[in-house]
Amino acid sequence: MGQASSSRTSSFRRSASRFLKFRHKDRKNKHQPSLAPGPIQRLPPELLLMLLDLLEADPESIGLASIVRVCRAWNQAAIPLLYNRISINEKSLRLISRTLRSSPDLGQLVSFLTVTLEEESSLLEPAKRTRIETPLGNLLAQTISYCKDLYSVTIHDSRLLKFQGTHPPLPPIGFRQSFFQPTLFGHHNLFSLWIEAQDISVDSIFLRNGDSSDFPFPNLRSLQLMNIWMDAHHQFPVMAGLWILTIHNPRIRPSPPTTPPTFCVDRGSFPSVHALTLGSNSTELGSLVDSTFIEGIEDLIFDIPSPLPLKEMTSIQRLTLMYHYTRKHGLALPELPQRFNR
Amino acid sequence: MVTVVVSDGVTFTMEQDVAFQCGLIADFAGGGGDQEEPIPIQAVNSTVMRKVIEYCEHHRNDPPQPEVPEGTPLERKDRRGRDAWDKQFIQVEQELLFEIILAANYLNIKPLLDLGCSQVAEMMKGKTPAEIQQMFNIVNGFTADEEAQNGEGEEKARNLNS
Repeated sequence: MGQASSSRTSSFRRSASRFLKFRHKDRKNKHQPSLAPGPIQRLPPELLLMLLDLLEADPESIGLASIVRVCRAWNQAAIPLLYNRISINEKSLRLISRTLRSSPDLGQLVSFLTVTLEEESSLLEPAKRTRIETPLGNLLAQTISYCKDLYSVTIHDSRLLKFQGTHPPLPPIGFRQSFFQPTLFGHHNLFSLWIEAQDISVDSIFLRNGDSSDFPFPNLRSLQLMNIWMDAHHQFPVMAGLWILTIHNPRIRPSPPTTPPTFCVDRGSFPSVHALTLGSNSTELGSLVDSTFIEGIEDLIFDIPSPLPLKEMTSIQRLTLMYHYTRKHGLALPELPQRFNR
Repeated sequence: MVTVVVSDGVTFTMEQDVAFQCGLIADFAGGGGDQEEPIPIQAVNSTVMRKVIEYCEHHRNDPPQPEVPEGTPLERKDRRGRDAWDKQFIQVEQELLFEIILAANYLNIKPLLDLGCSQVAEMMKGKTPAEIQQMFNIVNGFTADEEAQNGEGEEKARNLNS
């Protein structure tokens, strides 16, 4: 009910503004046939960008989504900013996937992709979902592949939050096995990967690969895995560049009794990790993490159960935290893609 | 003392600490002693230069702003707090405001440039695209087709940050 009336209001507003604009134009044509462009249109591009930066930094100000409608020059200047950081929910994921497919140029602009799954309707009223929709996993894969040079990928399944403890079984996201690595392949600048999902196993993120000397993401500095399935004997590829590793609430599949005991989280796979956060209310964590690895960690956080507001933070906030962290430790920042150096 | 001559031939003489807030003049004078020849500033007229000098005189005793290192894209550069004087100073008509912004950019006076731009940003607050076009007298240059697409485009754009 509420939704229906709000959409009616907005469509009313749209037609009203169209009408007013029409009248405004009409009046302008009658009384002021030759209107000189205002002084703002004399701003050189670098000053226009600076102005847009200011607008973007202030959440109370007019959004970039409106700026692109002001005029052609602003449209061209604001589109790259607008598409640089995309933070969407499930519904918008379907829309953005379509947009990126029809305009491949836009995909090259996206650097930060955050997808938050929060729709409860699918949980509460599965019967109401009659339309056959592309599984979320496929949509995610498509969207990631339409983006050409991602810097940060974050996937939150915040549907779990709404049902503390006792929830009906969640519809699976539908990740294909071996989904992430092939999908993300080519995003060489990938810096941060945060995945929270309950129907994915770690070996579908990182291919089980005995000789994983050529890990395809040399710039990956931050990896967070939440709620995902892990095998104690899973072997991660060697992530030489990784600094920050967070494992929250892993669901651990026990090794078959015949397998010799190994730890999947060890120095061999994570030679450069300085900061390790382990969050779990399960003692099984000990079967994943090599204790000698823990001894060598400078910043160790045991987070049981997780009080960190990481879920509420945007990917930008988290990256900013990371920058503070790397500064504090005097680490060299990886080379950023050109467009970050504005 | 430093002397400059602006586009309409007017000559201004100011003390070094006032003049050197303009990066361009500081570069031009090279930090050396008194300049004999007036420095030509062709891109700025005397009305605007008067405003610029007023600003520089007011801020002559400010502590230097900390340098923001390059390559720190994620931290928003601190915006200098706008004090009451600055707010009053930048309340000028639109034409002059943009002249000041262009002059601050040309003369390389970063705090004045920031002040001007944030004033423009302030003016846009809470406005619709149509109101902005009207306020700044912007010729939008969209073709009829683009105009039609814009409605859709905006819906799309809003979805980017749902």
